[in-house]
Formats: sequence, structure tokens, C-alpha cells
Amino acid sequence: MTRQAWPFVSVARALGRAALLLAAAWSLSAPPQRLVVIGPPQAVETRNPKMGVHTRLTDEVEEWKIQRTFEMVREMGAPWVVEYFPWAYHEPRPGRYDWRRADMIIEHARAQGLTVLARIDFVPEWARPAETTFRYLDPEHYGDYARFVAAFAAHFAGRVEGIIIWNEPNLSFEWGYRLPDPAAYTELLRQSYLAIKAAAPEMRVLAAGLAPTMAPPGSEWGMDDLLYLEAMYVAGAGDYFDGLAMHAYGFALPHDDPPARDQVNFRRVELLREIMVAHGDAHKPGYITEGGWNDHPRWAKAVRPYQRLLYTIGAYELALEQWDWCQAVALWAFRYPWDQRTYQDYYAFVTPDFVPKPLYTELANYAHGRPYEYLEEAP
Amino acid sequence: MVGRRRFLWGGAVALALMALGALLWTRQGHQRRETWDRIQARGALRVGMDASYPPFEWVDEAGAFHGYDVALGRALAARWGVEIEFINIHFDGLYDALYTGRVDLLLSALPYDRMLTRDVRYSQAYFAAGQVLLVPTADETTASPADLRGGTVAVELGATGHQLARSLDRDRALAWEVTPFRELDEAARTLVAGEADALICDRVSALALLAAYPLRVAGEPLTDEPFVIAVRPEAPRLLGEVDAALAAWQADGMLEHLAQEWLAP
Repeated sequence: MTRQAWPFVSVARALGRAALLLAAAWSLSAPPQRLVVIGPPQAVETRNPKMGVHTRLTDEVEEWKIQRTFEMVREMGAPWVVEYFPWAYHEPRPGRYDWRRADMIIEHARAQGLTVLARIDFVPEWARPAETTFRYLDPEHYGDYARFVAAFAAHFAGRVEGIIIWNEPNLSFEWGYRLPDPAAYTELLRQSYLAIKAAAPEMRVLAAGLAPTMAPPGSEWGMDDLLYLEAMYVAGAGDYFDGLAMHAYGFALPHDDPPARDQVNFRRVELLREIMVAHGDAHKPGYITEGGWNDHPRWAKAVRPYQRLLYTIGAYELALEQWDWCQAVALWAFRYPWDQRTYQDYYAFVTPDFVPKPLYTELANYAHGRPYEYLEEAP
Repeated sequence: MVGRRRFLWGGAVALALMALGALLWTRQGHQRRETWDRIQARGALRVGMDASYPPFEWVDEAGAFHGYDVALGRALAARWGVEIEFINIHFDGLYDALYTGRVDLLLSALPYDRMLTRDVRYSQAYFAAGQVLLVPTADETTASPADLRGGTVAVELGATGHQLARSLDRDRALAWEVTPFRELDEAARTLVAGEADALICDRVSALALLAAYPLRVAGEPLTDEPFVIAVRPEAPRLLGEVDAALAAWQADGMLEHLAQEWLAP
């Protein structure tokens, strides 16, 4: 070592020690991260293989909570989950895909023996004009969406059962605050279907679940779901989906309330099914990807919590016994990452802290054939 | 020469700063005027609400709006000397309607949401809707859950009060027997009959029970759930006017009067 070099070495050593001290201090001050290990594969035990839930992990940041969510779904006895994969999160720049988070979610779901349906929408800023909402997609960007869902399908082939193209396009709010347009949606579905089938032929393509609504013709807020589906078929949609996602909300009516065109209830999906059959799609299955009851204390469309309990068990049982065309009943919504402090909290099955509501407890009893804890008799 | 150049540069910088200040002042003033002045120019206040939450807001068969929030909205419009227009929007679309300027404010039994405080401005609370502890009026001593150690607490099966009773029991080791009932009225009757020591429910439900049974609220609310009014961030004048009205009505008892009128029939 030369005399000229030693001061620099000393300084470098001092800096190195300081960096080590800083790193140690930082690691001590940082909250400890829970080690998450994907354990051995599990299987769902249930007497009703159609049971499912829509998880809501979009903004869940902690991996152990994602894992715990899927564990609790399995423990409840539900083999199906629907999860939302926002396009903007996974393609922040055109052509730059980031699957890390989606991979993590899918692997945890699969480790619990769950079958996943992926709902995809949420337009990135680069694919829409300024001052529009993330549900606004112009026809000139349909190709971007189709390219993305095809990339998703290729990446998750064999790990995801199906992809739901958009969400409730019959509501203006879900269509970027424009009037619902079944023909435009059909074009989006067509481009998406062709792109997905080219990339991953086995991936099932599901047409979007429509919002159950009886909005009058010309309404600025939405379009009747039955009329919308009819219009989709007229536009040629029948050639471009493998199954239909359906939203089956019971609102204030019981699960067995009969379907009627002027009634929004759980069995309204039977009317959607009739339209499918009338258009030659009897061979295609339906998947309930949202639905259920809400037990908010004041919402006019809610029921009391004990009614929700009865109706929910009744709904799963009805689908099992009477709907051979229905593959899955994934009800909204298993858990929120945090309290929404709105009526949405009253759709949840467990709290953000994973405390099971009586609904969860009784559904687990139902699925495993155990005696009920709160109900005196089976619904 | 150098002195003159410095003088020119200094003048230019000062002018630029003045121009920037004027621009910011003008822009702020423009925004400040915007919502409030639009209401005044229109002569009508446009209120966004999801009118499916009785007794706070609902629509009758003739399309007329009723409820606590409807009365509060009408009072605001009367105070400001304008008409009122209620715009019925599903709860999920309320905030979008505010962002896009379709309504001037949201008045819809809206809980304060800290996650949205970058996007909207909230008024002060006008109603506290959290969970409360009810005991019989004959019980003059109970003031908190801790006073009921080892007691029986009635709740509505699966309601938020049920969750809260279970967590209080667990977290504070209160050794409660939590008894769920299908209907809140059934729980209240049990309490009045002396077969339970207390009942936990939300304050809106509690006000209705207080009007029907000899019960009282014991101590402070167990949870905090304030209802607030939301405006756009660039509507400080409107927010100020809303807060001033709410403060005045809090002080003179008008808000309490509204609660009694609509929530305790």
C-alpha cells in the first residue's frame, strides 16, 4: 500500500462501516415482514362443488393476507374464486407486462386447490383520453385490450380457468360514462376472443356479467340486462364466447323468488339462460361471477343478516340441485382489504381482520355437512 | 454597466414572480368562485344522493324525496336562497358524479372515508352513526362495556353490533354471554324483560328503539362513524358555507331536531 493510497482506504472503510450501521439500524426499524411460504397443495372439501366467492384482492398489499384469504375460502368449502386483474396494473406502459403480482395471487389460489376466473378491465391512462374514467375504452384501443388479455391468457394458460371480458358494460358508469352499446361491446368481445384463442386455445372466454337492471329505454344510467344480451346476440356475440358470466343479486327478495322480466332477483339469471338457449347456446355454461345479498341496516335493497344467511345457503343449494347449466356460483365479496365504510362492507363474508361473520361460519357448516351454529334448521 | 444589468435582471425576476403570483391568485379565485358561483348563477343547488337509505333518504312512488338528508339539503338551499335539485345516483357512482361536476355536493348518509381525502373535501360531521351500548333506563350506573363484566349482551344476529360484542368480549376479557336474536326488536324486548343486561346496535337503530322502549344510551359511542357532506377540492367557498351552516345548526339544536323528527318516529 502506498502512502498516497492509505487515506482513501481508511475513508472507504469508514464509509463501509457507516453503511453497515445504517443498514442494521434500518432493518431494526423496519416492520418485520411475515415469511410467506406456499405450502403443499391443498384440496377443497365440500358437499357443493359449485360454491364460490368473488375475492377482492386488488388493493391488498400484504402477501400473507392474500394467502389467508384463499385459505379461508378453501376452509369454507368453496372451490371457485373470481378475482379482478386490472389491466392498468399489469401493463403500465404499452407492451410492458408485469405479471409478478398476478403470479403470486394465482399461485396462492392454486395452492389452496381453488379454480380461478379472472375478470379483466381498468383501462391504463395510455389507452384512453385525458379526463376520462378508467372504464373508458375507445374502439381504436380495443386491439390494445385484446392484445393484453391474449398475453394474460398465454401467461396463465393451465392455471386460470377463464377470462371475463369487461364488467357490467350495460351500465354507463362501467362503460366510461357513455350510453351502453351492446354492438360496441360485442366488437370488443370479438377481438378479445380471437386474440385469446390464438394465444391460448384452451382458455375459456366469458362474456361479461351484466348488471341486473330494469333501466327504462334511453336511460342515461344503464340498459336492461335482458335487452342488452339480446342485442349482443343480434350483433353476433354468440360466436365469440365460451360461457356467460352472470350477476345474480337477490336484493330484498329470497333466493327462490321466481324470475320475471319486471323483477330483479337471484333467479333472474334463468331469464338470461333462456336467451342463451333461444340463440342456440344451450351447450354453453353459465358462471355466476357476482351476486348474493347485502345486510346493511338501512339500504332498501338489503335484508336482515339472518335472512342473508338463509338465502345464501338456499342459493348455493338451488344452483347445485336445479341449475345443471351453471358451473359456479361466486358470490360478492369474500373480504375487503379494509373497511369500505359503505354498504359494500355488508356484502363481506369475513372482516378485513379475517374474523368470520356468522354467514361464513354457517356456510362452512353447510359445505361440510356439520350442524348449524346459529340456524335452528337448514333453509 | 454591471449595476444596470443587475437592476434589469432583478426587475425581470420581480416581474416574473408578480406574474406567477397573479396567475395563481387568479386561478385560485376562479376555482373558489366556480362551484359556489355556479350554484348562485343557476339559482339551484344540485345534491347527489342514493335515495335508497331510509330514514336518511328515499323516494316515494310519486318521485318525491324524503328523509333526514333531504331535509338537511333543503335547509342548506333555503339558507343560501336557492332552489334544490336532488339527483338520485347509485352509491357506487356518487363520487364519480361529484368529480365530473354533475352534482355540487354529496349528501347521502356518507361515512367519512380517509382513503378519499385527496380527491374530495369533507365537511364536519353532522351525524354520529357508530355503535352504541343500550341499557334499561332503570340501570343508572352502567357507563361502559367494562361495567357489564360477566353480563349478557343482546345483539342482532350477524349485525355489526354482533361482531363488535364478540370482539369486545374477546379483547377486553369481559366474560360476556353474547346472545344473538334474529330481529333487533326481539333483542330489545329481551333487554326490557330483564333477560339481558345490554344491547349493542348502531345509533340510527338505537334512536328508533329509544322511542319505543324504556332504554338509554350508556356512555360514549363504542365506534366512530361520522356522516359528512362531500364537495370537490376546488370548492373551498362551498365547503366553508356548508361547515358554517352545520356549525350553526349544531349550536342551535336544529340537527338534533332533525334526528328526532326522522330517526325516532
